[in-house]
Amino acid sequence: MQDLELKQMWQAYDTKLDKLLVLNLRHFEQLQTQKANAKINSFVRNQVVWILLGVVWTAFLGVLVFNALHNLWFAVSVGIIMVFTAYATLVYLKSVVEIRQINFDENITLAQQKLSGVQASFNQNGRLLFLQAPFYCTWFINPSMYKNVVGMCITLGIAVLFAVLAVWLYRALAPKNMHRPWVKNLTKSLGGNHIIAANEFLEEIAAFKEENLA
Amino acid sequence: MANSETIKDLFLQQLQLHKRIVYKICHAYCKNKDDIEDLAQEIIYQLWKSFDRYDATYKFSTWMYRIALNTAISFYRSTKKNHHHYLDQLQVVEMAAAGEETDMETNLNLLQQCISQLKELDKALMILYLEENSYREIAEITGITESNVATKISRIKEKLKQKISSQIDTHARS
Repeated sequence: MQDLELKQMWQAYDTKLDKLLVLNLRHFEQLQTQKANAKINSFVRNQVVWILLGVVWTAFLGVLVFNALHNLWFAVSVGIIMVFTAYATLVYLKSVVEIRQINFDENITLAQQKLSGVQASFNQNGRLLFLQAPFYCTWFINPSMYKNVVGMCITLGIAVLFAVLAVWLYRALAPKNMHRPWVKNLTKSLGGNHIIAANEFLEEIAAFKEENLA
Repeated sequence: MANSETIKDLFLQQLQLHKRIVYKICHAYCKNKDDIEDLAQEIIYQLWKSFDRYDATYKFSTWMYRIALNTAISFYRSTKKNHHHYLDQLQVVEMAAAGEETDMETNLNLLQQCISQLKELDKALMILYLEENSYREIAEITGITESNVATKISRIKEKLKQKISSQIDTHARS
């Protein structure tokens, strides 16, 4: 089979389309409006809701901290959780803005690399939230518990265990470890299918761009 | 107001001229009719949204390939898990019923089938090659070097030829 034959086959496509294809643009205005509305709806549904939830949760935690400044353990624990939530919300907002700024009239590898890069960065956000886990084990500690040494040791022991586990998970779930099956499975089980797909596509783009003259 | 109408007319004119590009890309990246319609609407919407950035000193088709292929690749990746968003009351791509299939059309179907099995970026390269774009234009659209375009196209072509030949043989034997 020659190159020419491939092109001839493809040219048959033009003949067929010339005869049969109709581009129906009578309702172009309607298409424009409805597509724009559909985009806004899905944007509101998917992203604004998460950002609003993040803001509301951060504000709620802020109020709790403000009203409990006298309770050191509670204020510090909840304060740290609040900082994590605020940071995650900001990073998410930044990702949403970055995705919206990608121009599809840029070359394919560049645009797709940017898009997949932002999608893969959601991973950073998700794994960062693990680090707040130990503070969910310390907010209820109060001075009256100091007398119960065993109880305090158990509580702090659990918090330390969570801290170790959180740091381990944070390091293990790094994008550079995504090739390991268990990391992939864990990311999938935490709802990160799109993150895995984005990382795989980033690797595919890098391979595609690579000059291989061998 | 008249100005925006003129811009819209100009856009629709260009779109009509290059409608085959929209359809071919939709067909290469989607299998079922609903997805093709959905993607065609999405491409037209994205083209219109970006039309004010179009620099008329460059070929319209080059600009169009970039947007259409970027939209198709992103769409392809999201429809693997998402449902359709197409506006079914506004069918933009309509294919009239074809008559009996000729040998050439059978071969074309075979070629389309083989192209649809390629990876997303290889698919884009092959469409651009078969559409008679120069290596320089393909490099501009895809963002890789001309020599890389040439190497990759030659490899994909070989793969395609082998696949098509073996399918034609199987077809002939049965």
